[in-house]
Formats: sequence, C-alpha cells, structure tokens
Amino acid sequence: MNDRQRRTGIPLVPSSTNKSARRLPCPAGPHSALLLISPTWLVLGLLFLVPLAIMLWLSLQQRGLYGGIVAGPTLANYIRSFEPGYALIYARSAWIAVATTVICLLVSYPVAYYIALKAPPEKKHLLLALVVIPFWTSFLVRTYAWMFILRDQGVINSLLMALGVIHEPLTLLYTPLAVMIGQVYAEVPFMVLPIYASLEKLDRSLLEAARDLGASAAAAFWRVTVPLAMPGTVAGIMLVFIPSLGTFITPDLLGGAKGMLVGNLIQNQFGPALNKPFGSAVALVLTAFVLALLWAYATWAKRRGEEEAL
Amino acid sequence: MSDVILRFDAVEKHFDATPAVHGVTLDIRRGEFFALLGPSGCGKTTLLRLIAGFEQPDAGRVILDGVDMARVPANERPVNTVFQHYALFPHLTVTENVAFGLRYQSKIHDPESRIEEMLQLVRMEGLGDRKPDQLSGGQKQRVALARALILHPKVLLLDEPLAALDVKLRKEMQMELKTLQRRVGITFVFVTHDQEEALTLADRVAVMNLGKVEQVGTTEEVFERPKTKFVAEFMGAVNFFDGFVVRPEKMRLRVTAVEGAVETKVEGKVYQGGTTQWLARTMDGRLLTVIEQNDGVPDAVSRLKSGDRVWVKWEKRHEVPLQ
Repeated sequence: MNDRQRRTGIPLVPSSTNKSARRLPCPAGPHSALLLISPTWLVLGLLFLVPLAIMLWLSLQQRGLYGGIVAGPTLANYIRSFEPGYALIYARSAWIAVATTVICLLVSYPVAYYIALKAPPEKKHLLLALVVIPFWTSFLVRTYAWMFILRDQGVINSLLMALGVIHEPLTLLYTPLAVMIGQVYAEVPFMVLPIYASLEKLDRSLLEAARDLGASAAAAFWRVTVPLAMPGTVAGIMLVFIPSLGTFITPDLLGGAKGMLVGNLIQNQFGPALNKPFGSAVALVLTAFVLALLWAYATWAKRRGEEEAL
Repeated sequence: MSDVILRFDAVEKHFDATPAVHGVTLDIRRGEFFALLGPSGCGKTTLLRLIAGFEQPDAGRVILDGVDMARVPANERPVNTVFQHYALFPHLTVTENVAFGLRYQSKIHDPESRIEEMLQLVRMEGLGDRKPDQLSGGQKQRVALARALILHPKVLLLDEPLAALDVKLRKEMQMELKTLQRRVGITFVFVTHDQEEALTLADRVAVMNLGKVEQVGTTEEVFERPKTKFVAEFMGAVNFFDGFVVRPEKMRLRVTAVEGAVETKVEGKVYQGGTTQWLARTMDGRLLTVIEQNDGVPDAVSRLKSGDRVWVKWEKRHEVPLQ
C-alpha cells in the first residue's frame, strides 16, 4: 500500500487534521528543519527524481539499431506519441480506467458503508482484515489465479459444465471482460479503505439529526453521508483511476494481445520493440496527464479545506 | 383536545438484558416545560430516544397527542430534537441547517421569511452564511433550537441542552430557553443530570433512577416533598432520620440548648459564598448538614469551631416523611 501511496501521492486515509499541522514552528531554526527533511529529499531524489531525469533524457534521444540509442536531441518521440494511430490505445486505457473506477465505486461504497456504520463493532477488524488480506499474496500470483479461474477448462467453466448450464466452455479469458474483472478485483481495496475511513469518522448523531428533521433513510444518506464522505470518496477515485490508467499486468495476462493499453505500449517499447526513447516519451506524457489530474484534485481539496476553515 | 400531549404507558426497554427503562408510566402535559432528571444510566436519555423514535419500546406504548407511535418512524414523528452536541451539519451553513427539515413539510409558503423569522427568534440574524465550526457553543445551541423549532414540533426534545456550555453561558442560556419556551408555547421535554438546572427550567420534573420514575411533580413538590430516599438525596436533602428527612437549609444552629433542639458537636464547615455548610454529629452518631445564610451579622454561630457543642433546631412541619 505504501508503494501505491508513493506512486499516486494520495494518502489512503484522508487527513482532516493537516489544517492544524500546517504551520508548526521548528524549535531549532530553519536550518535544522532542512536537515530533518533531508532523508525525504534523498529518497525522493534517488528513487524518483533521478529516474525521471533519466527518462526525460532518454525521451529526447533517437532509437538506434537493436535497441541502441542515437544521440538526439529531438522531439520526434513526443510528436509520434500524439499520432492518431495511438489514439485507440489511449482511448481504450481511459475507458478501462473510467470503467474500473465506476465499478469499484459501486462495489466499494456499500462494503465500506457496511463495515463503518452497520457491522457489529467487534467484527470490524475482521472485515477490514479481509479487505486487506489479498495484499499478502503477490499481485502477479493473484492475476495468474484469475487465469485459472477464467480459462476454458477453468473453475467457472468446469462448474457451469458440470451443472449442465452450458455445454461449450464460455470464452472468458483474453477478453475485455477478463481485463475488467482483474482490474476491479485488484483495485477494490484501494477504494474501500479511504471511503471506510471517511465514513468511520462520520458523527452518527448527524444521521439521527437528519432523520429527526424529517429525512427518510435515503434522503439522510444523500444529504449527509455522501457529502461528508466526499474527501475519502475522491481519494478512492484517484487511487483507483490513476494506476488503472497505466496498468499493464492485468491486460497482458488476462486480455491477451488484442486489447493493448498504454501500459503495454510503454512496456513493449522497453522490451520487444527495442525503442526506449519512444517508451520514455509515452511514459512521460502519461505522467504529465496524471500530474494534471493530481493538481486538479489538490486544487479541489484546498478549496474545500478553505471553505471549511472560513 | 386532551391536556396530555405525551403519554408513556408501561414502557419497557432493555439493552442486552439490562433494563434501561423499566415500567415507565408518565403523562406530560401540553405546553409544559418538563424535565427528565436523574444520574447517568438512569434511563432518561433512552426515554427521550423512545419519543424521538431512535429506539423502539420492547413493551408498552408511547402515545403522542393521542396517537400510538409504535409504527411511526423517526422522520414522520411530529417531534424534533436538540442534540447534546447539537449535531449541526458541518457541511451546511447556518441557514441551510435551519432549512434542512423544511422540504419534508407539506405546506410552506415563503420558507425564506420563515427561516429569517427563526434566526431572529434565536438572535442569530445576520449569521446565516456561517458554517457551524465558525460558531461559539451558545450560537450552535441557538442554531440547533432554530433548526428544530422551525418545524413546529408538538414536542421539542432537548438532550442535556446546556451540558456543553461553560457556567456563565449556561446561566444565560437557561433564561433564554425559558423565555423561548414561553414565547413559542411548545411542550419542551429535556434531559438533565443537574437538579439545579431542572429546578430552574422546568415546570414539572420526573426524577428517574435505575430505569424507573421515582417521583413526578412540580419542581417545588419534588424539592420540598421528596417521596423516596433516592429523590430526597438527589435533590440535596441529606439529613435522614427514621422515616423522615429534613433539608439542610431548613435547620438552624443554636449555641445554647433550646427546646426541641438536638445536641451535636461541630465536625467542620464549608464556606460556599452565599451560604456556609456546617457538619455536625449528633450524640447517637448521625452526621447532620446545616446550611446557614451568610447574612454578614457576626454572631456566636459564625465563631463556632470544630469540636464545639452546638444545638440543631428545626420545625416539625419541615420533616418530610419518606416511603
């Protein structure tokens, strides 16, 4: 999960207390403050900024024979990345990311709502553990497990055939449906946890107040629960949407060769296509797009915070 | 139109086998300011929640203005609540909070002026655009009142309405609440553990203990004529004799033996500002509490020290028999 936080820059649990933490004076002066954050800069620099700089440099070079590099500098890779031929891949990626996010939201909200507000208190920890337990197994292994479930002789087809529901195996694996299932399966916990955190903080007496003032259970949900859980909901949407945009393992293993996404395109350039400069350019375009989304999110969160602080 | 607005008829409520409310039968009259008074865990809040519809009775009936509330959900009951910590919606402005329930009312002609009227009534005019976290405790209280009263409930429920305020503000709000209740003429039922607050605000009080109503009556009745040991103790009458009780402020200290006075020894005194509380032990070992006015006249009593002999005198008519 930490990996996810680092990649997307969004805390899993949206904090409402950063207002008070904003201006804490450092007791030993500004220089020691710099010293204190130096490990952060070291980690960010070595693991994030340096690789990014390498990518940036690569993206401005030209492709040589057999995966080599011919010194640029050129913008050709960026220009190529906007060629109409790639539009379908981008559109498909955006579609997968949007669909994954919407389905995850629809699946996760009731789950988070149940754990936060309805489940008996002594069961909450167990239920949360069940949400997190898939992380104990490698993502790759879990995706392979889905191949065994979805393939022609897989669990679903064997079961349906044994029950006599179908006589021919259904084609499930290597379809867009399989990609969708794998994506939603992988991303659901990242939607459940922040929504849960928001709902858990919700003051129950506000729901009683809404009921007391005449609101039905549904009206209380839409007028009180949903707006107050919005920070967690938006965090969940970002946490699911951004990684879904760049996913490549799920479409690679479950989607086969047909449904190439931007993640696979990038991976291919570094692998079989032997074109690291172009791969870097596409990756950076994707990064820029994600940063723009994050900036929009930060602006929204800041405005909301200011509204609350007014 | 019946004089009774709210009736509890043999109401029972248990939480995991612990009785929270046990056989409560109680009438609350139209237009009165009624207090449910008792220590924490006595069932007073559960009683309030049974009226609001947040809890359902295990047995018995809650009858509001002649209608059995058994099948009426909370949002359809003609009662509104001022919550202990006000439960204002933090994402809505003062005006939006006050207007929250209006859309569920059948006929509202001119909601804006009604909101404005309400804000004026609770002296919050001009603050309609604020969010709850920009308000002081007293202001939040007023918004909570406006939000509930705008719906013209048959009964307004208040859960420890003043507990979250500091002492000075509490005194102010007590007077405001009292005035407000007179002005709107709505039946107020409030829960408190503070007997002084109950006496100040309420017309009538039900003193509760262990899920049961110990005594119901006017504030004066409950204060002057407690029926049970518990009520007497809870209302501060601590001088128990066999079968009767005498309030400490009804007793006088005498430095010489007078007829009918009980001989005691001074054990201590507590200066309380307007009054001084004396502790005196009788010859048969009973500890008495006597409250004397600090009237500023230096007399023999005010010079008494621990160990001094003193006679405690009271009148027969101040002896309150207990059940």
